[in-house]
Amino acid sequence: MTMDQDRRHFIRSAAMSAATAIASGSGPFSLPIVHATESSPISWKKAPCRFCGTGCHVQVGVENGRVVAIAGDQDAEVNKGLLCVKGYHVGSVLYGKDRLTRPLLRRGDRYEAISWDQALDVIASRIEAAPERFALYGSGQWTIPEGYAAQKFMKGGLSNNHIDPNARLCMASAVTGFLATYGVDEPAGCFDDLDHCDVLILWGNNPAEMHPVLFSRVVDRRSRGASVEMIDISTRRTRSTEQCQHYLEMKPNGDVAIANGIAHLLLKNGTYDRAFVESHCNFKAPNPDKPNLHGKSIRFDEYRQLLEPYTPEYVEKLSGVPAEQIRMLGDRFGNRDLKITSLWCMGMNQHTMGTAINTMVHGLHLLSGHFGRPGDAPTSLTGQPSACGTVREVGTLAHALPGGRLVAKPEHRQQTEAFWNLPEGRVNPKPGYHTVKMWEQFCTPADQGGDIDTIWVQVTNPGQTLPNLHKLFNAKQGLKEKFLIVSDVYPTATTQLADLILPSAMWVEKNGVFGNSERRTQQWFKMVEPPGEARDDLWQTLAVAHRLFDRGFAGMRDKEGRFLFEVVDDSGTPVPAWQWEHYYDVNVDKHLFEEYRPFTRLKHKDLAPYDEYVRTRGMRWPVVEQSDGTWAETRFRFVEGYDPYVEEGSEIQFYHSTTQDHRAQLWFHPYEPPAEVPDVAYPLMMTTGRVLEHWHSGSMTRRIPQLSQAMPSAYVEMNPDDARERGIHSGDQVVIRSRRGELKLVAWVNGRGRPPRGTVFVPFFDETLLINELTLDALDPFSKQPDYKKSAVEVTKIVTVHDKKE
Amino acid sequence: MISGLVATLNTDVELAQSALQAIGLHPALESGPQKGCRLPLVLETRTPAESHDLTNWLGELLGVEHVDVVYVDLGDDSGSFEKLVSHLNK
Repeated sequence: MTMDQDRRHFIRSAAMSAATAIASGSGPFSLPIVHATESSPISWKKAPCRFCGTGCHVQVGVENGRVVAIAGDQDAEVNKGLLCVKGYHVGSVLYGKDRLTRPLLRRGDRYEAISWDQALDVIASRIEAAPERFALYGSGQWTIPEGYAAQKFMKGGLSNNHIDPNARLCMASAVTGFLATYGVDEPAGCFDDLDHCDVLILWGNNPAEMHPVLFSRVVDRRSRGASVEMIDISTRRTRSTEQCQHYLEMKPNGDVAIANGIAHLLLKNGTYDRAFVESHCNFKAPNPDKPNLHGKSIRFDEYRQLLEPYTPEYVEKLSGVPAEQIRMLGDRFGNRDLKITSLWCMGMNQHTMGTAINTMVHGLHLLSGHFGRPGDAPTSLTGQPSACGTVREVGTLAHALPGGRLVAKPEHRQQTEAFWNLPEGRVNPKPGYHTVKMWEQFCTPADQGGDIDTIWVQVTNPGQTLPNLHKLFNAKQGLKEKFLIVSDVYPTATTQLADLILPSAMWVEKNGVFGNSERRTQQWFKMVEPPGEARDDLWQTLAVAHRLFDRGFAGMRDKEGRFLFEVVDDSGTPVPAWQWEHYYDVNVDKHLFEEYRPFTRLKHKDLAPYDEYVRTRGMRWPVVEQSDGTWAETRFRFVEGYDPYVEEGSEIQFYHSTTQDHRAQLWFHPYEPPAEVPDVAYPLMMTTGRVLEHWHSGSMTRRIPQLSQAMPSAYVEMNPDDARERGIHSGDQVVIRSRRGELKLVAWVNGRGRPPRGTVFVPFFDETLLINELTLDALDPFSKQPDYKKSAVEVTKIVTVHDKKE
Repeated sequence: MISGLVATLNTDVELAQSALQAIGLHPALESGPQKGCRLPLVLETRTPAESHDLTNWLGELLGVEHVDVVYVDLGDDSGSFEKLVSHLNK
């Protein structure tokens, strides 16, 4: 058999195995298992999937310099050989027809190809002209070394804190929720909780579509006979609802009332865990005089009094969820024989009370003692592959420094300057602009106070994902003093307004390290070359830094005058990694990862040496060296017997407590209505979100024919009564209007999800139908995360299906 | 281009039988062992466009409720830089 025939035979076998495996499954969520055999002509290497925050490992099949096949990695604990439909197609994201392959500079209304050397000069000149008016906008798709370099470049090199990620739009409220509760970010539990819980509560969460492999872990347990009760608390029915025994349909912001209602019942019925609370918790309420994450301390009796009004009947009135179902939730939390896991993602985070509801769900687990046993956990999920590893741990946020440090804290700045060997005072103490403010300043003329002139975007697509796009992105058009640089792999809604476009390498075209939603750090090596002149984002940052260094920009030197990103080889000789031809002479990722590791110990998020991650399918921090020289991960934080930093005899120890007494904070927040509510002019509430087939803005998945074909364009999902009232049928073209914009879409009555009366849903993946031109830019006051889930709209029919056929 | 598909067949036996017959006659499709109403298939075509058309054809058969694409290999179908610049300059 020739090599070609052999390969063809192998691919056919793999395709049939996948299809047979899924056809044999007992339910719609049993996903295929494909094993990467060693007998094939293809070479296989491990990598985490580059889509969501689950962090599934895939086996990447490479032949003749191309990725030719993808298989689930059976050695990976996260996915145990399973992949979702996006994961199976992850290899295809490299091979869309319109990859960016050369730097392009806008000249008037046209683009002209320029050299990398010219591009670096353009960027260096923009920065030199006004370093304080420059901003860097990234994402949770930055690898850990990429984010670390960007962070060091901005805060250490330019003394400029205007760096923020798109993760501000998706999980900032989860961060503030963790900080306000435990004093330190990220989940205490891990995905193992899904294998042990008796009750799974979905708080505004649709994991069947957004995190299908995790959801399948629970559904598969049930199909094997385990008793797992699933409760969906949501504003619309979704694919996840179909698997749940209980569906609690709530009004927008109803989750806040529901959480208070459960706490009310736990106290009233005496079913809260008194011993846990007395040993491990303090009580907090918002401080209106000084709104911050510390709030004001209250006594237990004050907490009880604040909850007194939240009877099941009152909660029913606020949330729309029947009192009986509130009591059912109260009973579940009040039963310590059960193990309860709460899951949430955008529904609780994209919320003007995002910080509040995050703290309240943590609070329910603390109040009821459903914390610290496998299966008993409040668990927030992330949408991007390294929202945790890069954004939250490296701290690529306008107010943060690596390892949980803050720019506003003198000792944190000093520690950072010491690690980076910078002169004292180099790191600016003033937080930079958070995402919405950054883009608002960029889209405001300089003479009207818009003090950001240049933004460099890496690994994200703000022209599609920012809220209220006319105000926060489209307004850039025509502002001559503003300059937008975009590094990306494909043309996007963002590149449409770019002045300089830089072609980037992606995923296995470069080395990388991600950190997933369960504190797991995962590494992979470059496997194929990027197309044309596309280059690593990390190299781009280093090359611009060195161009500034060459021009004498003082910030790009350390205390001894050395280049900020000096990389040495094994013999200690500096390597000119800023030159593309030498970039892979050394492993720059490893160099930066090892430089970053000491930062991680302050908050006990210790990472192992880089080579440990090469050997494994990731490890969950804190990863601590054992007496025999091996490195051990931590499954459950703050719990004796699992977490090495918990003192013997403590059982539970919240060792980063904001009250410095090893206790977590249990918050009360009063219910507040959404920032925008339907009225006569805009009588429907619009919620936006994702779909199974597409990942976020669709810039990758829309280029994969199988996914694009399965879900070709955005639509508006409507309740049949709302549609009937407006004379709308499935397939009709409608116009949807908010106070901020309007959009023509096709209506889908009772579509994949089923919204209740008065609610419509529109997915945001479609670049040709930008729903964020309509969304509200109201923010959570602490996390500064916008609420994409609640915009008042009206929908009107413009063309019927019947008219179109004629 | 090779894809793994799962066709979910109609519960009406006659309709399902007619779909199975049509599938069996198509040279680009190979059927696996049927599991209840689910039929695993391998589809091999020369181009992604052909694959797209055939998947559509399959989905439109009266005896087929829907088709899931569960696996795909990657064909060599790269675009040109000129096409890209032309797209951006539109």
